Amino acid sequence: MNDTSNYEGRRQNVWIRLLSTVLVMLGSVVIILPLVWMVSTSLKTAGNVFSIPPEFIPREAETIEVDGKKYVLYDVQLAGEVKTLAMVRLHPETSEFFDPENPELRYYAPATDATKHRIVRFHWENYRTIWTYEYAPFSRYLANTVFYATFSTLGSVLVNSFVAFGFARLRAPGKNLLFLIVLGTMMIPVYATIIPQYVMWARQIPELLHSLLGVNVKLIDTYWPLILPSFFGSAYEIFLMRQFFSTIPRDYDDSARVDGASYVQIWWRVILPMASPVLLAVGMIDVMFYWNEYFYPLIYLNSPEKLPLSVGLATFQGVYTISGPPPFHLIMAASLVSLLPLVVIFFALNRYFIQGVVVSGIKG
Amino acid sequence: MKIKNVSRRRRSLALREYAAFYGFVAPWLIGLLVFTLYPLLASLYYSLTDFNGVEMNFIGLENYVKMFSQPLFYQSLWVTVRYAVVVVPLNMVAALALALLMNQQIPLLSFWRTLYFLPSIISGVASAMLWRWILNPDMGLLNSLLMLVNIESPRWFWDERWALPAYWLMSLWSVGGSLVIYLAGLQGVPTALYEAAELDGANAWQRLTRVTLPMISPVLLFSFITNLISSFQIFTQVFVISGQGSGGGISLGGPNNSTLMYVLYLISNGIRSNRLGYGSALSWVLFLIIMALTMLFLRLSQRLVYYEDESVR
Repeated sequence: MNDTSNYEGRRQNVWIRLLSTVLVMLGSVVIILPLVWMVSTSLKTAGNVFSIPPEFIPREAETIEVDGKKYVLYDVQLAGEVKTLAMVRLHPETSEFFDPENPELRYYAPATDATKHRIVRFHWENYRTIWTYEYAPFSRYLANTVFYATFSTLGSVLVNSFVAFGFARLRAPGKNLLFLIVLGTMMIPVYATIIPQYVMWARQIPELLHSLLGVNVKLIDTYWPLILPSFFGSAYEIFLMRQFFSTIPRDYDDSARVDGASYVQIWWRVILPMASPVLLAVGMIDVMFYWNEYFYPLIYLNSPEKLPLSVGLATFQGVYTISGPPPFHLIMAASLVSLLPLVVIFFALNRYFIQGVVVSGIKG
Repeated sequence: MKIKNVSRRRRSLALREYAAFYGFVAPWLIGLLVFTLYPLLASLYYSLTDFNGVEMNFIGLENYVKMFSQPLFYQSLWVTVRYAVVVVPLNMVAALALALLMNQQIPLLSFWRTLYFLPSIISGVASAMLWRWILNPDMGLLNSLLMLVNIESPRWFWDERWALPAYWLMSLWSVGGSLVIYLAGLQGVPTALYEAAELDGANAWQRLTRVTLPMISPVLLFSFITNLISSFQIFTQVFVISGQGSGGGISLGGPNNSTLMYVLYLISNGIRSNRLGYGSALSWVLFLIIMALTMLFLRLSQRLVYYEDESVR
């Protein structure tokens, strides 16, 4: 093991490791820069969002108020020293300034010798502004998203694990055929079924309920079409969970059977606890999916107060842009707030999250 | 007498298991019929009608004939193909290269992995708005930086030659999803194989092409197919960046239809203009394209992909 060729190999390895680390670090700067820019923009004012060259740390010209009038502070070069002065009048050769500490004292200098006195200031109040904007009820969006993601994930994990238990543990004629159908339906695009699904929720289900129960219901612009289908399983997750359940030794089921447990009890008391890491991992992917889901809410919901964050954010952008340039600082603040819960969960349960991505192969 | 009893008992146990199986899969079976098979068949039927949400008359293949005579239909296919053909390999190569680097026992591995994955948890909407701001032609971060080094910068989403490349660039940001998967694949390759290859005198390149790539080829194939399917269905980013409410004067799928992705065409010309029959025809064509591509690549890859455990396939 300790011969020279191996030593040579190890020395080569140090260089490869170093080079790899440097490259990975460089790449990560590119990945993280847009996020830093997002945070930075969200802490600026509408005015200094557009500074050239771009500033990552929000800085702005400082102003002072003297006798009810506002003056912009400049750093002025005066006979070798730099003084911070307030500008009274701009003129190419003789701009007029005064000393904020001694307003009687006047100074004159060419405009080219003066640059704005810029200080670092974070505008945290942007984060307050977005909550109170009347046309885009941000807190409603957030509450709607939490509701949507929670119930869909719950339904999805519960039902998929239930169905997967059947496929992993029980024998019955026709099972293999059904499992092939599970595999076959995995790649049907949502866009291939959306039109009849919409017609179903808009017309056929209400008509059916009317003729059966005599009730009048409206399902478009409610969360029923968004949440209910997740209680009927999804092929992909059934497949994933079945694969995992198959790796759990059957001895556990058998001993539970001997103790008189029913299949439902085995699913609930034996399999689910043992599969909890995988359930958590798949659940995380579900939360992420429903949190970000855009298409279905866009199709089924119309009322502003019913929208989730994803669709709401886009409206937010639109509402603001009608007058004047887009307020990128507020848009970025709103985006960040909408992401924050997800990012917190992501960091808290990072291990499960990554595992979820790996087992499901789903790209984010 | 006794034997008969046992077999009857066994039969009733087996019957109970059958019943239990169908009980367990019932939610999925109902969902399959109601939310998948029925809509799939219904949309096939709608595609043969002039359904507009209210009236429905059978018109045979007229929608399909019309579709194949629409320049915009071909435009949307062409745009989508150009998007997918660049984005899928670009993403895979970048993710694989990074995964190989990360697999060199670099320090703080899980930190880097988390960092690279971060953009992938950001919703299509939020990341679209972010990139719309970063690629803003006059005040965006990228063009301001390019200006500093005196490179004449393109107008990205606002220029029909640069809008699609802007989406390519944007897709690269979420390379972390594939990266995480590939890295897990690489970590699963037994070290004994590398040691054996080294003993046989294989250099680094040979170890990569003869050991690493074959060993993770199933992962790569799966990732290729899911990437392909999802890039063919790209919608949210383009809809948010060029669509309604985005402001700043890009038309949906614009400028000049240069980013009119297939699904965008389906939504704007099928669903939002209430031509549900025509939209259904478009959605069936999408379904067939995706089926065909998946089948094609699964077939083509049979020789290229190595399965350690033959029973998997």
